[in-house]
Formats: sequence, C-alpha cells, structure tokens
Amino acid sequence: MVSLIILFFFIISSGSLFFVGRYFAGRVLSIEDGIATQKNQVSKLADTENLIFSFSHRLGALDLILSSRQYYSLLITVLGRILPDYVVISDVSLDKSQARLSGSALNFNSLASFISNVSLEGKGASTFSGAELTGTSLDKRSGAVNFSVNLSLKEGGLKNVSK
Amino acid sequence: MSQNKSLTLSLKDSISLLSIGRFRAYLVPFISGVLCLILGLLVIKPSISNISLLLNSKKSLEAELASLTGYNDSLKSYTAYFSDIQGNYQVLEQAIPLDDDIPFLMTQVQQIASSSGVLVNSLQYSGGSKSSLEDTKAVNSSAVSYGRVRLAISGAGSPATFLSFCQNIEKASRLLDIDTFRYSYSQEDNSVSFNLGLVSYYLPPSKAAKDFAVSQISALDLKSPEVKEILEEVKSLKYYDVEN
Repeated sequence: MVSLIILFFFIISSGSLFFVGRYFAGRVLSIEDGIATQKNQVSKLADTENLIFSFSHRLGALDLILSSRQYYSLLITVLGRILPDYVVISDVSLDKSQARLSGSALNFNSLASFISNVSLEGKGASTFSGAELTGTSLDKRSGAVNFSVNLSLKEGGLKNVSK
Repeated sequence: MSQNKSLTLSLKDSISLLSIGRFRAYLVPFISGVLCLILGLLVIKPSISNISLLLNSKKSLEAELASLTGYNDSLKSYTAYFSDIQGNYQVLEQAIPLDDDIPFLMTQVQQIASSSGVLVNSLQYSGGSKSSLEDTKAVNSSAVSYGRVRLAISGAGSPATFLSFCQNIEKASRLLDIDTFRYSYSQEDNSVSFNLGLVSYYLPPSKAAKDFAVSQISALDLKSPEVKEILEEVKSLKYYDVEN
C-alpha cells in the first residue's frame, strides 16, 4: 500500500513537473517574441537612436571640457585689479597651478602692497591662494625694486568668467 | 486414507496461497520501486533541471525585455522632438566638430586676432593627440574620448587688445582653450607681446555610436538643468564664419 502511494506521488509529481516545464517554456518563448518585437521597433527608430548616441557623446565630451576649462583672461583682469600704482608686471607665464611674474616696483612699500593684495578679499583672494617672493634686487640708480614672484592659483580660480 | 489426502491438499493450497501472498507482497513494491526509479530518472530529474534552466533563462530574458522596452520608450519620447535635438546637436557639432579641420581652426584664430586688434606674428599647428579619459563628471558618466588639435600663436598688441583676444578665444564657437600662456609687457610703448598654446577638440562620428550602452540612452535627460546649462553655454559662444 505504501509503495503504491509513493508511486502515485511520483506519477503526480512527474505530471506536474512536465506541465510546469511546458508552462515556463511557453513563457520563455513569449518573452523571446517580445524581445524580437522590441528589437524590430528599435531598428525602425535607427535615425533617432544614432542622433541620441552622437548627441550624448558630444554632450559628455563638452561637459568634460567645459568643467575643466581655465579662463586665462581672468588672470589678466585680476592682475590689473591687484596691481597698486607704481608696480609694473613685465613678464607673466602660467602653468596649471602657478603664475610666475616678474616686474618692478617703485619701492618696497609698493611691492609689499602688491603682495598683500594677492590674498586680499575683493582683490586677488578668489583667484590666488598665496604668493611666494622668489627674488628682489634694488636698482641703485633709480631706486626701483625688481622682483620675481610666484602666485599659487586656487583650484577653480580661473573658471566661469566668460559665462 | 481420504483424511490423509485432504490434509495433503489443504497443505498444498496453503503453500500455493502463501507463495502468491509472498509474491504479491514483494512484487508490488518491486514494480512500484522500478516505476518510481524510471519516473525519477526519466521525468522528474530532467524536468527539475529543465525548469531550473528555464527559470534562469526567463529571468535574464525578462531583464533584457525590460531594458529594451525602456530603451524603446525613451527613443519614442525623443522622436517627438527630433528636430529640436537635431538643432541642438548642430550647435554642439560647431563646438566640437567631427574632424580636426585645421585650416578652419587657424582661420578662426586669425579672425579672432584681427577682430580683437592684435597683430599675429606666427600661428602654427603644433600637433594633435587623442585623449581617452574615464569621465566621471560628465552628463552620461561614461568613457568619453576625443581628439585634440594644438596650435601655437605669438603676437603683439596693447594690454586691452590682448585681454580682448584672450576673452574672444574663450568665447569662440569652436571650442578653444588656452593651454600655455606667456606674455611680456613693455612700459615704454605700452605694448604686450605674447606666446600662447591653444587647444581645440574634435569628435569623430564613428566613436559616438560605439561608446554608449543601451542603458545610457535612457539616462539622458534633455531637460535636466545640467544639459540645459551646457547647451546655453555653447549657444552663447560666438561663431566665426570662415567662408567670408
């Protein structure tokens, strides 16, 4: 009797599993049909697809370029703002994080005023993070001070002025 | 004698009955066991592994279908304003053209110089490179690669015209970045002489379609403030018509 019950259970299980398998196979086929339909629809929108691909890519590149862009014209503007009277900048070169300047000042007071303007709010503080005086020499004939100074640029100090 | 005979018969019957009973008692479980084994090996086990495979397959296919449906829906929504996107795309293509087009670029720089009032002493192509950067900040958070064209320019002008030149370089519709920057000021004649390294960019069309995955097209939101900001910035740039 027990063996017949077990056999019955096996028969029922086999039948159930067979039909469940058939059901899932049918579902998979129907999903595959759905995928084929969607792919077919996508292929009909190839023009839009290509345009969006190109648009996205170009937009991504632009975002990258514009976000890392430095506006060097700002350096000229800020230098004009922080230069006191009687200080002349004769040579400026710039790399990514530092501006190297050389010039002459009427006297040490003018030079000191220029150096302090570099980190003064409303003058150079938004652009520069500090100044390092790398050399000074006194012109005995004229009394002028020739100097060279390195100005450290703030991160983002030369951004977004042209917007 | 007859009593003896009947006793022998009933004993035989009992033995045969006993044998059939025993036979039945062993045969039914034996046949059931064999059938269970056959069903287990030929139907149940393959069905279970088949169902397991079908379930995995169904899961991955459903994910693919959902992705494709989303992708298709996104494409359909873009179709509604295809011409707007096309117009914006042309603006983007002005900023980063399809190829390096060095003659156009050099003419644009010369036009900027003359309209700014600086005198160009030399303008030369100083090479190009292909950048391939892993872009984490960009709108689509994906790998963006583009080409660079480098120019070197030296010239002279007044401080005001030099400033104007730099500002116009930064506002040119075909993107130009100042890469190296050096100038000297002469107080005697109030003049500036300058040497600048310029970088411009290009993006070949073949790269565009390959670098993006299906999911990323759904992620592009053309109405997002980030996208609008970039478009506004690019539209505000000045176009130099080199044909005239």
